[in-house]
Formats: sequence, C-alpha cells, structure tokens
Amino acid sequence: MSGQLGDWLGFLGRLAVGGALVAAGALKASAPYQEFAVVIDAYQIVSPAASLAIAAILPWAELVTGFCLLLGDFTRPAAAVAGGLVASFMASLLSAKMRHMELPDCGCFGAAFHPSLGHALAMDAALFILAYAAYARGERLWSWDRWAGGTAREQHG
Amino acid sequence: MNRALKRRLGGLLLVVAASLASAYGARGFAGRVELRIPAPAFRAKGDTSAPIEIVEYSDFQCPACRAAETPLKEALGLYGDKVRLVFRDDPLTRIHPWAFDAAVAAECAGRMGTFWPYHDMLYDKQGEWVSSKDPKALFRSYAQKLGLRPKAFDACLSSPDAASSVRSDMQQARNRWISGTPTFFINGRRFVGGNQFASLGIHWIDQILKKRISP
Repeated sequence: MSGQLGDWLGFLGRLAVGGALVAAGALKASAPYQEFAVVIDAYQIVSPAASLAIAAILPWAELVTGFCLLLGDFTRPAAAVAGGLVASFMASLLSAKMRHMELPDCGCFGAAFHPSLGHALAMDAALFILAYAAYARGERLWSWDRWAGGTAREQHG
Repeated sequence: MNRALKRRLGGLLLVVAASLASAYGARGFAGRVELRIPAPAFRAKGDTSAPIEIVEYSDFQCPACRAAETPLKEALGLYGDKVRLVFRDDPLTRIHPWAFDAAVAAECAGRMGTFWPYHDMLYDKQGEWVSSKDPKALFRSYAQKLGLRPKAFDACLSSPDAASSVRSDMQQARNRWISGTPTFFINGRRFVGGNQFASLGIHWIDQILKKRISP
C-alpha cells in the first residue's frame, strides 16, 4: 500500500472495524452480562467461571477499542487489539464449526442481530484485513493521534 | 500539563464517555429488536405497568416445566399485581414429539379465549396425553371440556396461523440462546429451571421491588 490510497484504506479500516466493534460491544454491554456468558458457555471452550469473567469484560473492551479506532485515538495499539479480538473470534467460530456444533447464531451482536457462523467467519476475515490496514495507515487521515501531537511514525522518525 | 498531554487525556475521556453512552443508548434498541414480535395478549397475565415482568419460555411436554408451575403460581400469588407473566412457547421438538402440537392447541384455545385454563389443563394432564396413542384427540377433548366449539377449534388447529405463532416464539427462543425449558426472564435476567426461579428468581424480584420502595 502506498500513498493516498493506503491512507484511505487505513481510514476505511478504522471506520469499519471501529463501527463493528462498537455495535457488537454496545449491544452486549446493554444486556445483563450473564446473557453473553450463556453464549460463551455454548462454545464450550472455557470454564463457566471464565465465561462469566469474559462476558463482563469483553463488551467493554470492544467498545473502548472501537471508539479508539473511530476517533483515531491510540490508533495503532487499538488496531492491534482489534486484530487480536477478531482473530480470537475467528478461532472460536472455526472451533465450533470443526466440532459440528449447532449454535443458533454467532452470538456476536447480543440479542439484536443473528448472523450465522459462516457469515460471521466471513465478516471477521474481512475485519481482520481491515484491522491490519488500520494498523498500518489508520492514523494518517482525520485521526485524534495526528491532532494530539503527531502520529507514532512521525514521532519515531 | 502540556497541550499534547491534555489532548491525549481528552481523547481518552471522550472514548470512555462514548462507550458508556452507547452502552446505555443501546439498551432501548436491543429491547425493541428483541421484542419485535410481542406475544399475543391472551398469553399474558397481569398489568402492563407492573414493575416485574416474567417471561417464561416453556414446553407443554416437558416434566420440568410442569414442575415449575408450582413455584411460578406461588410467586404470582405472593406478588399479586406487582407481577406480569408472559408465556412463550419453546417446544423442544427433537425430544418431545407432541410438544409442538400441544403448543398449537394452546394457541388455538387462547385465540378462542381460554388460554390459561387450557394451559393449566395441558400441564395437569401431561401424563395422560404424553402416554396416549392419539394426543391430538385428547387436545380436542380438553377443548370441549372448556366449552370450545369443536369445529372452530379444529379449523384453528389446521390453519397455518396458530402454528406460525408458535414457530415465531421458537425463533425468539433461539435468538435468545435458550437451550432448556423452562427458562424465565425476570425483568431481562435469565433463570433456568424451576429451582433457579424459586430461589434466585424470587430473590431477584425482592431486590427489584426493594429498590423501587427505597428512596
């Protein structure tokens, strides 16, 4: 990626990944966290106690990461965290697929939207690529980072 | 504090404030989407303005659902007009072959004005119709006992409307990741099974009502 096109892709990546994380986080954080723990439990990857802890923390992590990306604040760390989150979602979805689990949907958007496991995998794959674009070039255009004192690249040479 | 640091802190505050605001704002949206298809009025008991709403997802062929009727009725008696109950169908058709037909029959009874007596009868006589060779004949006989016109009841049973109402509830149950019946939602909080309802659920109702009373 080079020049302006790369900057625009980075900006687009920020908006897409940030928007998806904010939507997913807000819809889950607005419900009792035990509801999301039911979803995590159904994947049978972690213990019930861990499900509760993850259910309490993950939606807020998605929200904060998502808004950082939308705003372009701490863009590179936020894009790295977003990439990690999306990769872990893909791993969970793939593991459920490989075990032929019949889950009602991906459970990623709380009770509001219900993408199938396959659709969620495709969406996450696209988000992962966009998270990389945001990591590489997301702070160049309309970012808080730039306004607040220069991008990481500018600061470090 | 220099200007760059102030801007950094400002950005962080903005992110935290936006996160809190969007989680709060999504509360209404998620609720509206979830209740896109409300249950028919005849499947609800109690005032719509009651501070406690119990939504029960149940299966007429499930023994645990029948057993949960006791604590549920006790709670309705105890809290009176402070509680509203909404019944939702979630027939577990893989393990209960007659659950769907029973739900449709109850739906038809409801459309003819006798949902709750029919609901009670299905649970009271669960042992009878579950072990019968022809449960549908028994469903008709229960309707007759409640004074429902057989022709109208039969017409409803064979119409697609009642079945699609039950299917719509099943889809809602799926959307809410309900994997067992009975599952109760008391003001949005989930309680699975009669025992959990009777212990933790009642405690939760008390907590909500206490919060309302205290200034």
